[in-house]
Amino acid sequence: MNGAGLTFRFEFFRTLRKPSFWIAALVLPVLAVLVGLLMTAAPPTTAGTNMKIPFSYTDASGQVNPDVARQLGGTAVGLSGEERARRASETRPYLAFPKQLEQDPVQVYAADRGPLDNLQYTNLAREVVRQSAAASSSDQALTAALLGQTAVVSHLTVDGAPPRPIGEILPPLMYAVALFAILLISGNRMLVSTLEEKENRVIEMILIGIRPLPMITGKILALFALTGVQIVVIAVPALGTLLLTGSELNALFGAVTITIALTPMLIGLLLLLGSLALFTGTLVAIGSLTNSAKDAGPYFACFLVMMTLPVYAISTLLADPSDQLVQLFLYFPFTAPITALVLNATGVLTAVQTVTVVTELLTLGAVAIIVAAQLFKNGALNAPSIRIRRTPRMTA
Amino acid sequence: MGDVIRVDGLVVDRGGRRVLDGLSFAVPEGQTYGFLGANGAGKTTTIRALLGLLEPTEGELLIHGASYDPSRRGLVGYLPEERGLFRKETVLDVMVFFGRVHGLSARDARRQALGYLERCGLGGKATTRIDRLSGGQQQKVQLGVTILGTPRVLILDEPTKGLDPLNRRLLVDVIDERRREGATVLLVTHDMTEVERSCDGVVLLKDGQTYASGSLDSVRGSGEDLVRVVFRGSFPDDGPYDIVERDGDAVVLRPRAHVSFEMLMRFLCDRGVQAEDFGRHRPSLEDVFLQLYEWEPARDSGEMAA
Repeated sequence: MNGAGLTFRFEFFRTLRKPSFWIAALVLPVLAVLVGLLMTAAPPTTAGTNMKIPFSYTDASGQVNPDVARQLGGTAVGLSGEERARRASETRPYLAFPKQLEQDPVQVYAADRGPLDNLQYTNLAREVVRQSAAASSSDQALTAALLGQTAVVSHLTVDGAPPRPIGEILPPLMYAVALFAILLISGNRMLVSTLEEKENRVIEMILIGIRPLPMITGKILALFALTGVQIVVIAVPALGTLLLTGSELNALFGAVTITIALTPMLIGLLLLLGSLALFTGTLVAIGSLTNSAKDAGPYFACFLVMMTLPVYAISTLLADPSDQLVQLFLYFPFTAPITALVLNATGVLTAVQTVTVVTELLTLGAVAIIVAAQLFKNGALNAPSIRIRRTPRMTA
Repeated sequence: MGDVIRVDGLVVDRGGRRVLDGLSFAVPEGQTYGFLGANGAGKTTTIRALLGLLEPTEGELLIHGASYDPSRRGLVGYLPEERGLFRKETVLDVMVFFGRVHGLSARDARRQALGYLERCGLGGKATTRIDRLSGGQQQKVQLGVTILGTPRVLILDEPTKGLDPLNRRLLVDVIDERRREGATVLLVTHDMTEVERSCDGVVLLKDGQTYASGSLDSVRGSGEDLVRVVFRGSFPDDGPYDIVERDGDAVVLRPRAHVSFEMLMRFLCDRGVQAEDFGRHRPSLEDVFLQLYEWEPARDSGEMAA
């Protein structure tokens, strides 16, 4: 067995035997199940009543209360103005309430504001129907039906073209979720695993039989495999929770048809691989340059903050990809992974940006791992200041 | 009999300082050599360079005729000065892992590990975590890890450091056993008694250079020419010599420059010293070491090198 295989096997199985691994793996799914149960037990959410968005509407059902619509920012355009309102929907949302409101969905025409902000249109349509039904007392059965969840179909456009549907965004977005999960789950383990040899002073005995690079490679692969195990442990109950709360999610997003498009999935995979290479190389380097987990802590925290920073600006990422902050995040190596994965999922990552970021991540990732392996060797020998002039060695 | 370990003109620069400056020595096949020098003399650096753990600035370092690299695993058993074990793992897991690092199959590593544990009284501890063993038991495991795979060369960097007497005995037994089986041993130590007892030869290191190397007898002879006199009555303090040691009616003298053995004998006769015994003093290895580090050697170290 070669050095990488030997290290992989040792690291993988010894970690699987540790109770702490399973505790860490099971905490998230247990919490997910609890949250899922709470969501199903909680009463249905009602949208806020204070929303006011200027919009146009036509009402074929006659059920929409004009006063309610006006209070929420609506202007009735009459059935004859329908086409004109639809054409102007990029600047002013247009809602078409169907004749059979309790059966047919409300049609929404509007400019794409990103997956999160687009939810306001759905909520707006439902709020108009809900408040109109509440104000009416003519038909008890209809009122009850309208007070329930009203179906909404959105026809959103960005620069005149339809945006990528949510069902097509979700599969490549899973790469970003996976990366985020890996950062949280295995970041600390990655850091500690390279410090362990140093703290336990076993490195010299290992390095006489295994070269540093295969050793680091074996460690990284083992950590990825362990993370994979943890993701499976998390995913199974998460999927169960999804089934339990499916109706809640459908109410939030409307009926979603998942579509897997090859190109964004491949680009996402490349971005994920480059991100993981950069992530692991940097953590190994941090571990190599410090003497203990305590010393490495502050550097690790900075690194984690940088990697997860785009998550906190997710609304800007989704609503305005051309924003300067988003562009900065896209090209700075440590914020690029999440940013690029999200933009790739939403379909706004251009070909040039894709090539640039993938190249940047893969190159820096490879360099980081190679440098980290050398730093690991020197750092582990407690000779960080060693200066060695490289000259050819004479052999027999 | 060829040289198993050969170091020729080793130069290592570290932190802008020359740590080793042309170090050369050889250890013949099947021999045990002590590698001696004060703390910071460069012993560990030499071993790391020999094992490819650090790149030398210059020099030829050969083990069994070729530079060492990890592809030759199993050839060398190495016990480093800075040592430890995976503390959270079981004894057997750790030993099997290192056995595999030494090139053994999983089955052989397991068999040899269990055999060693039985031999050193740890047969019942195979599935115990390392950090639950006593310090002495951990030392035994450490030594076992070093000799798994019966390597032909043992490089032991201060192996007795921190050992209790029982483990010191175990170590000595293991080294002796490996020697009988034909292994070549390089032993870094500060324990001169141990070297005199178990080594065939010695390498003395000072200022990054070889002060002396060779058989024990030749290295002992490389010290200063001292004279030991056993006398009756009084002994003059002043003379063409320095008194190195005085023990009752015996003194060890260091003749001054250009004072021969015969001249010294004549001087003492002229002074009426009643000498009962008068002869060259054969220094112990410790004497040679102390001379090397406490006093400036009488001769240039380059000439002293064997």
